[in-house]
Amino acid sequence: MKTFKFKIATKLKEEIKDPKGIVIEDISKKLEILNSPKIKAGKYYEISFEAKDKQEADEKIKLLAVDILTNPIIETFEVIESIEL
Amino acid sequence: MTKIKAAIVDFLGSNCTIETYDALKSRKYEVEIIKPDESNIEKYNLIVLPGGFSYGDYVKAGRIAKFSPVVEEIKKINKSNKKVFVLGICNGFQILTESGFLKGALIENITDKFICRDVLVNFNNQNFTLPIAHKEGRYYIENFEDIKDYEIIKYIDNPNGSKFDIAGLYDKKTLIMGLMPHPERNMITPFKAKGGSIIFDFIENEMRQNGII
Repeated sequence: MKTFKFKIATKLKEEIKDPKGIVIEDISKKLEILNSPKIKAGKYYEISFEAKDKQEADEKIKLLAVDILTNPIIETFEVIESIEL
Repeated sequence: MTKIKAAIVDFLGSNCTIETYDALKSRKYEVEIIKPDESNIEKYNLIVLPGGFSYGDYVKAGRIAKFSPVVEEIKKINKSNKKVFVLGICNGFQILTESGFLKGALIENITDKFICRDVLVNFNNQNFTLPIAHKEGRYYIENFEDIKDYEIIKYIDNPNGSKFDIAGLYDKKTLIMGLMPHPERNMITPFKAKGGSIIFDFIENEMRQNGII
């Protein structure tokens, strides 16, 4: 068995209004930190686990992401990084 | 007349169990509080998934509760020809959408704030008041076409940004109803609010028409 580590981000789909992102956009404009900001807030996970190989690890992480970390009706996920430890 | 047998599923983190129990008792139901690992649920006429924060609402409201054995039991009943009415209130509605019993999903209010107040809703050709108390109550579905067969409980003055002003849904085919407002909260009140009773009158009528009672 090998150990794999994944970094995963989830967020609402593009077409769904994200109030957290809007609030951060507003305050960053008000404080003149950013010009014309477009911000989407989401969640970030670091996950490590054992798997036979990279293919199995990828399959398992997809299952986790679709079943537990997101609801495909409203959310998407992105694997930011995956490494074998 | 035989009493309606109801069960309230008390998840870890449910916090409306007792008021739901009192509300159902006020309608003279035989009420039991059951755990989410209960498997023998066919004996009940009505299963209520109450409000609260099941499993801390971790990841997202209702996401973890969808893996409960009782949810699997409801799926089994749906596939069989047995009939049980299922009502999900607030967190219960979130569990019903996350589990796929009702289409769409519930996300954080457009205000990003917890909203706790009375709202005016329309259902079954009547306008009436019900209390809401939620932060993840904004209903989302891409196309109205997907829910056109449902009966809809609508907000008159949409408080949370719900798509198509949806406060609740009722699937007549599966006898599953989910709603963000709390009907159980204004049935026992000195203020003569009757919104909750209108919902339960409807549910009893549906149970009667479908031969459950």
